Amino acid sequence: MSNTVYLDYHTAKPVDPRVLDEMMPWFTERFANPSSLHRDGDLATEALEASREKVAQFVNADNDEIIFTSGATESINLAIIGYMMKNRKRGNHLIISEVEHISIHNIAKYLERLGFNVSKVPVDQYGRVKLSKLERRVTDKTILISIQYANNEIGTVQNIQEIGEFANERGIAFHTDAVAAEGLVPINVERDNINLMSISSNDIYGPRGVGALVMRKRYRVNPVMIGGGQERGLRSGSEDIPGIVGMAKAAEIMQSEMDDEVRRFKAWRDRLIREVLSIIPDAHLNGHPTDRLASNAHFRFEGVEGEALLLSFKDKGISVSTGSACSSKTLEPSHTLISTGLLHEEAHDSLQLTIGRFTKNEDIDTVLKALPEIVGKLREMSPIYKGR
Amino acid sequence: MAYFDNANSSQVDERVIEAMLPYFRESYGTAGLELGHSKDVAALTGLENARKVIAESLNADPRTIVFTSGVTESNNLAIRGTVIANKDRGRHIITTPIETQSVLKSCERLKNAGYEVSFLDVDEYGLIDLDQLESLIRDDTILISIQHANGEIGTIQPVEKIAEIAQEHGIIFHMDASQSYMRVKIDVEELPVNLISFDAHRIHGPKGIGALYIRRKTKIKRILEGGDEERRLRPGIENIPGAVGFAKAVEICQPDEPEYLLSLRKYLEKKISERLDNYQITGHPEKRLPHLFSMVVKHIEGESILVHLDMMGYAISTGSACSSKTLKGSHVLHAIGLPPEISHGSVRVSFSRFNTTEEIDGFVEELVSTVERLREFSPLTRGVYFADDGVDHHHDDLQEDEW
Repeated sequence: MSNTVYLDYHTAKPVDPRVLDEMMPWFTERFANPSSLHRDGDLATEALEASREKVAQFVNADNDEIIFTSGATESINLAIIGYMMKNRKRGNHLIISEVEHISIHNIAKYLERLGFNVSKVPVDQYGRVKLSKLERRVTDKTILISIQYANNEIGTVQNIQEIGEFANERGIAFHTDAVAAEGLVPINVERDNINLMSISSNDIYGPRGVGALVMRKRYRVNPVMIGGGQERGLRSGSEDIPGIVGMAKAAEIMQSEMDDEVRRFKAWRDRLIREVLSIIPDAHLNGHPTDRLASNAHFRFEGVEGEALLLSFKDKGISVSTGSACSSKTLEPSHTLISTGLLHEEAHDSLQLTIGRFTKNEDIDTVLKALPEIVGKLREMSPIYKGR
Repeated sequence: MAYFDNANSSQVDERVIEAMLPYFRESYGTAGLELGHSKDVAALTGLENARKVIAESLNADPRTIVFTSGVTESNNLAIRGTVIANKDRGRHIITTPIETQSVLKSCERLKNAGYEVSFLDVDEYGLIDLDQLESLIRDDTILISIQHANGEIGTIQPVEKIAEIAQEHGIIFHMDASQSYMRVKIDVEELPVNLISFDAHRIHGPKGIGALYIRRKTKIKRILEGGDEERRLRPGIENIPGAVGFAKAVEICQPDEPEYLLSLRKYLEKKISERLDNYQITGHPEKRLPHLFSMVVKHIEGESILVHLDMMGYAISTGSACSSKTLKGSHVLHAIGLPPEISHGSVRVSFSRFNTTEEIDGFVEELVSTVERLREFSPLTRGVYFADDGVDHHHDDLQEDEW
């Protein structure tokens, strides 16, 4: 479809052309493995270390605190399972929030099967974790707290600095899943008291299949992928040099352009929120009105099924999402929305619009023009909507 | 100038890049439901077509292919995933000492967790003994993990026989085919193997993408936790450009490519036999990968040969790629009975479709003069060749029995 509008940037992003350009020579000209002793191998090693430095700078970590992985899921596995296994003599208790990404909930289930204890801290109506609630769940066996930097569905940004400080004061390690936040919030592991952090490449317009775990000094994990001992034994497997070079370039671009980008996004986001809430009756905003990602507008329209919305948008060549990328496959209502206090049927009525680097002003116009008509039509057909 | 380290990693074919580009730039959705938006549908179609192409290369059903981040992950998943899923059936694993590190380390981790691991002996060529395999099988053996072909010395194992034995005893057979995939034919209809690990970057596909073939009804559990991707066996947003590139690499592999690679190896073998002395080919002379030549050059360090040839523009390798920066002696050469002072002289040359006989001509010239020069300076040489009588014994056939 030509002139397609894409407002589903939280789910997946294109690779920035500048990132692709940077990757190209590593596919066809300099394709050796860093472990090789010949010059081509040395070039790969240099590229690997230069990339590590760029990613480290992006989050204000030291170079040797960056471990490249195959993506955020692997980073999160390495961070949480790896840390719990490595430190199980010190304690067996993990705290996560109710609104974590599905993969963290599944890791928690897995750890419980292995005999670890997991507590889930609830969130307020905006999806925020409160320290008082966290406090109540800490025991002398708690060794790790894992709270997302920002929510991948409703875009709520947590007070990470405060949570990190809370954990560190108590000698508890703090991991944050920063996948939704990276590129939209300036991340600084030093300032934010983060000990372990998972990031992905695609979420900053780099290629898929690459991610990183930021592991601060003194915080150690057991490897998940074992073999040739790459990444200081913490992540074996031939390094995906084109991917890693791409991620580093993406981080570099993001670092220099994020301020402008976020300013631009914010204006569009606020316009979306303002106009949708004023034009469409019985529309609600999910997530926090201000402490939210600049890219994220998440609505609920009474009496309108998210799936139906998605299909209607699809007919108009507009790509949107009903909620979490991972949970939309199962058709289960979003656990995040349920955690913020919505009923099952309310959670189904959601629409997520997410702005990205290649969004244009016209895209926002198009969506704002299409939305009232689509919602109106769907409500006409709805047996349950008794709108005013 | 030539790149002869293709068993380590290979150049991505331009046609593979062309195939990947739209998935980086345009069809960048996730492989969601078919009712998803257009980008998701395009991504899903790309992923499933790639799965089909890769399945066909093994004569397998697409549902048996799970994409991973590479062979290391495939091996980790195959070994730890099946052992943990079948732990109620037993706790014994059989493997060989010449496996790749990801297999050896996975077995080691299981051993530390209370499982038992038996290592088969290998002969001077690196071949296992089928009788010994039979004798090691116990009632509680759940997994046999043996590579298809060795990445250092190229020896191909009798996997048909191994698979038969495993099948007779109802034991899961995992085969690491990272070096043999698309170089030696694998047909899962004929070969009753349960699991096959392989990846893209040695066949001119991208790095960071691999696959595990899982025969239906093979009990296996995932080793990473997360979403429901890859039939719940491999969570994480799918690397669709990688999968598409992988499939393209498979598609453009011509059926006669192994033949061409073999002709290059034969050409090199002949040239070297005419020009070099005091060397020995490692691995089996016939039962070996078509594209992989390996030898030990006596009295010289492989690293020195490598560095000199590198300066002349020829990229080769010594020992295993993974361990060559550690300068530890190769575990494979040790297992086939070579003492460290000899195995340090190991050299591996591995070809791709981009190599030519002209490159080999130039390479052999440089190799011969490099070896001559190094032998002149080598303390190892001096002791042997320039003995007290001051006579140059350079061409004496010394200590044949050492081989």
